[in-house]
Amino acid sequence: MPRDDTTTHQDTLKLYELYEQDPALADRLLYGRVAHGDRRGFLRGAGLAAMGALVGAAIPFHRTMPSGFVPLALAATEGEIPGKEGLTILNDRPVNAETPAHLLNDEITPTSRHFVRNNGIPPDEMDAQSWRLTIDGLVDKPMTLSIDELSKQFEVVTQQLTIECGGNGRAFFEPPAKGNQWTYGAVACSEWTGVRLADVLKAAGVKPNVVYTAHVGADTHLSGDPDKLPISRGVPIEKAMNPSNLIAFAQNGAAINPMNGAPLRLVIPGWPGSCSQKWLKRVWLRDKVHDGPKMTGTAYRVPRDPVAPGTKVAKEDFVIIEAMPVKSLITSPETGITLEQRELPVHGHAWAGDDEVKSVQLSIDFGATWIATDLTSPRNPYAWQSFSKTVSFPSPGYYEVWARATDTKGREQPFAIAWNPKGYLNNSLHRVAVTVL
Amino acid sequence: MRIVLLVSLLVAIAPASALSDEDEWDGLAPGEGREEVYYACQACHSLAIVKQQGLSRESWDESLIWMVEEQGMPELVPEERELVLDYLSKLYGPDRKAQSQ
Repeated sequence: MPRDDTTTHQDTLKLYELYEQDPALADRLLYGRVAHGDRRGFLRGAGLAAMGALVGAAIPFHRTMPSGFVPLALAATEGEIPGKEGLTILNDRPVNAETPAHLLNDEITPTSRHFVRNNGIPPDEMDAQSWRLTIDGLVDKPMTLSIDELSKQFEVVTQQLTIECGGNGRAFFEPPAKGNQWTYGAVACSEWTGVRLADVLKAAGVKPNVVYTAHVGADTHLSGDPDKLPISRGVPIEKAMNPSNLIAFAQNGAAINPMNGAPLRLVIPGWPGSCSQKWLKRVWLRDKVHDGPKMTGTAYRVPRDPVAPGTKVAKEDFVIIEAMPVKSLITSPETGITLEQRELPVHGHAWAGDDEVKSVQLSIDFGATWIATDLTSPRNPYAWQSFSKTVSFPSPGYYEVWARATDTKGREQPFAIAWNPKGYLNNSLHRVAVTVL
Repeated sequence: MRIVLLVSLLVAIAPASALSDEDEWDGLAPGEGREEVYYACQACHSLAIVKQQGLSRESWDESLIWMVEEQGMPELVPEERELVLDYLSKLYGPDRKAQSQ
């Protein structure tokens, strides 16, 4: 697109003029910052957290930072998330970033390559010493615990757990579905250390009439309204009591990345990532299905019955997503490679919600025939499994390697997308392109 | 004095940050209504999420209703709202016109 210098100049001036005439308004428009009455510094809150997230650190002297001031660091950190490497940034406010498939080749996803899905503005305080978690609602004994107390009072366990965003694969929906256009990489399987959610709930005493959990984090709403939660989801109490769910305080043996929910988060593997509340402050138990933000309406829901692409579905015909479907990802080779030899080792991972993967097959002839792969057992329940196989191409030309996983209940990945209005649960098979010279 | 300083600071960092043509509008495609869309959306979230979408006018309309009713967005005046809907459904409609330019 040719650049229109006149327009540029005018548009740029408009922004300068706005800052000149009303820096506080300019701040509110640009960053959602709200100035203190004396116009020096700005209130603690969403705007500060937003700017902190942008510059990659809390801003200790934020009170003396003039309203209308653009931190120099913004220029340098644009397009980067501290502690993350190689991620594709879909959105920077709130931060949403996925990992290209070929960077997910590790058996255990490094913290630097774990995707980020934020709904609000991360808290600016993530101090592990002063952090408190409250368990309340329909329990015999409400509790408020520090992370230190959690780790002393309950067994500490480390498990490798798969977390996948409910909207992973949304980018391929036709007609397009609303929301972040995730392709393949909103999935990860890091090692998480923490205490079992079930142990903590048992200690609090789950009353017999509890049906659902409700999770609350410390992140704040994008609008800056302190009375609004960006997201608060929950799970049926039966799922909550599964021993694989963790209240986690470490990721891959070190501190949790701030964007992955430091210093404390839930990990409820096998279900949409949104069940795994980050920056966890409170778990309350309820006698009805939780109705927090993004539990109701059409969020994290799919039509009860299959619908034709583009169908408008009434709200009452949607159901809450529970377990994620069987899926696999080819993590080596990277798509688009050119080969000089005929042999190609193929590697990747497969996972299946609450179940295990029974087999993964590959095809190099557009699905006409399928080749069995070597598939590992999961290291623990809800860890993804890895498949490997060296395939041989018969002649030069263009090929696609397709992967198709089948779970222990016999369900296999489809070729086509089961379209739904909000673009969830796309487990259609993964394809990588290979050209053989 | 502070304002003068501020303006020169903005000028100084302009080439490296966000103030060139494409960047000032965060890459929104040119068209009538761009400025209205920019200021209506940018107050709460970046334009990156807008630019990813390919939605029908009806779906954009629902999004605006949802933003106002549930997400704390100030209501747009009717003329502005029409401009915003026209722009979004024309450039960020199901054919993803802006993305293919």
